[in-house]
Amino acid sequence: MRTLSAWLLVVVAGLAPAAAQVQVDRSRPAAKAGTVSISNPFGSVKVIAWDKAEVAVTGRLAAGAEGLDLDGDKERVDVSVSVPEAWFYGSGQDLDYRSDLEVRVPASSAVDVETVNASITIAGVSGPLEISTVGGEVGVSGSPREVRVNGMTGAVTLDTASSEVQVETVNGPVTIRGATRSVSVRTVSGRVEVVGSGLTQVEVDSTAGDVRLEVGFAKQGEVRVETFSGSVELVLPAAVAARFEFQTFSGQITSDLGPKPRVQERRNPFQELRFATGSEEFETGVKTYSGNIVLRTGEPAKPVRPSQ
Amino acid sequence: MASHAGAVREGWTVSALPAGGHDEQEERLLAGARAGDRSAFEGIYRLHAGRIYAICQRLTGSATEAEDLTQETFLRAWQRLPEPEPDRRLGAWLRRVAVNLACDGFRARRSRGTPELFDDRIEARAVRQAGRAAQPRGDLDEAILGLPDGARTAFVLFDVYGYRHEEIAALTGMAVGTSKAQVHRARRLLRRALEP
Amino acid sequence: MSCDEIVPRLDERVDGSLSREEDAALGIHLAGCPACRDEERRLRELIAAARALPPAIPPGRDLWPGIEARLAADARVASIRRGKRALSGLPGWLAAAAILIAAAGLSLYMLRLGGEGGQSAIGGATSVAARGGVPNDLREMTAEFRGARREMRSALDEHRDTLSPATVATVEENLRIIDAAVGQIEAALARDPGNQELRQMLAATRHQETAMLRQVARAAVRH
Repeated sequence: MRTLSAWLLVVVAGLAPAAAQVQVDRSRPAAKAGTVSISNPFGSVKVIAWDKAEVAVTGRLAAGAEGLDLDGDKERVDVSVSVPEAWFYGSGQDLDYRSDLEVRVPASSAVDVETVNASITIAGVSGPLEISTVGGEVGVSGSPREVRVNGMTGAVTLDTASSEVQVETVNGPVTIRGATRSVSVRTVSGRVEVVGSGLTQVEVDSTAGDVRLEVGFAKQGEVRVETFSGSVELVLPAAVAARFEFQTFSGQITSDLGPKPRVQERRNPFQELRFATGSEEFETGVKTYSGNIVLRTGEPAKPVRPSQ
Repeated sequence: MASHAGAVREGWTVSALPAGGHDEQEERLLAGARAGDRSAFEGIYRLHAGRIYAICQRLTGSATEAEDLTQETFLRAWQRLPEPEPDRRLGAWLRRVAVNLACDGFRARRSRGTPELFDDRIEARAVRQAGRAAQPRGDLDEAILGLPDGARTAFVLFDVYGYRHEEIAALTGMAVGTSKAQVHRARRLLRRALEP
Repeated sequence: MSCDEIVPRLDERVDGSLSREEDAALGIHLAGCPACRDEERRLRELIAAARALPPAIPPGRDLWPGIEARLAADARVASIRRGKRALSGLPGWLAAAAILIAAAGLSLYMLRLGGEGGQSAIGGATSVAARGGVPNDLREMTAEFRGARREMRSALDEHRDTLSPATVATVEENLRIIDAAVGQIEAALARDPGNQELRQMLAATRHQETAMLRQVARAAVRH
């Protein structure tokens, strides 16, 4: 009996009518390697690559949204959802504001997406990506050659074989896997994790967010990590060849490689560890104020296959 | 026999208000509007609204639609104001925007398959009646309002505004042959509606 | 040629699209046929009337108010839509403040480039290792930065209602984090003014704040 009424409750709940959203199904011819610019303040944006010379938009607009514009020309297609201005002064969490879009774009397109609180997922695009959001979560897979993300509170997860990655966020966690050349991350309190190999440039700036890098280096290059109170963990291959310089004012340095850290006697004593293994063409610098610095050796990260 | 194409278009510009006196003022307004000055754009609107409304009304056959289309034209224009060029008339550019918008609407209606009558006498009577229903603006404008969609669009573009059949075909999605046929048909219907 | 065949061709004759032979043939018929000549005359009159239609027709009502209202509404949406970079989409008050912040941040960044011995890169001025307290040049830079930051924060405060509560909470929390960091570094620097690493760390943390305030400004535009 209890199970039956529980089941009935579920069915009844599922039958509760949702606010009347408007279905969209529109398309437009597009160049194979043009630009697609997408804007949707609330809800979600899913960008999927395909091999047609066309941009196709399907999904549902929030009831009360002013409309979906799909215009531009072949070289630059604009997809934008417009909503009443009053929605921007609300919490934006309200389910009624959601417009959920699926946008199919030619695989070599350059894509830029802008949202306020809409989550963004991009898969399979190989052109450069530029993503801008305030609260939306960001997930990218595939091999876009460049990815730039400007977020604030949403989590950013990049699972891509990209040569350049740049992420700026305030407190959203950042996870970058598979980047192959240059990574740059700035955060205030979000946790940062970078996994990759063959990197030539890694820069992480954090105030309170913890940082974990599990990376393999190219022959030449630089890793620079600075935090205030965030801890920094480096996991590097045991055979790593680089010059290391770690400094922290009131944190602790722990390292599987190199000599014991020294305490520099000053009016403000700070701990320092400097050493080199093999070639000195790669520099690794980590500085914190109070965050702990840990260097561990482990297996090098495997190159990430571009996921479709 | 002077060629039809071109003669009307240029003549149209000449028969409009003297462009010379407007040039400087218009350049200034255009520069202001491009910089985002809305009152400069209002100036441009005031200078051109009548002409844009005229072509919109003649193409759509409806005062209400013409009003919407006129507004839409200026809204589009605001987003894409061109650089001032010595040999380009802002008026012609605005008109192009209006015509494109009107023809988009025509193409959309056409693809929905609005049927048109084919009996000339019935149609001519309808044209006469429809013409009378509109606000009096002269016999011919009234009668144009009553033309069926395709005939009106082709006639207005060809005989009133001097477009070539190839241009009309490109704008409306009609074939060139259809454009010619529609113009001839419009002329026939108008003559029956206007002549006693 | 019979009149029935002539009349349909009159359109093309008037449009000038007949071949020379056909046109000549028609001409011959018209010369001897008043009825067809009359047809041609009426046709030409119609076309002339079409060409002579007034170029302008005043709309039944003033359409400008409607246009203006849409321009105002679209402006807001357009700036959100068109993906403005950095400052180009910011409202005036934010743009001005953000420029100040950026300028101050740049000075601090250059400060960070200062070499050993506490030399400042700014104007080549030697940093005065003050007797306790933050070095002069650092204090100056800090003052400039503080001014810009104060302006920006008060501007943000004023326009707080354009930010969502969640964003406001995030921003405040993270500004607190940065402030706490700055406070600790400055305290340390006061004890050891010549400490290059501390100076650099201070500059870096301020830079963090600059970047964050700019991001918030960006969010304010969207909100």
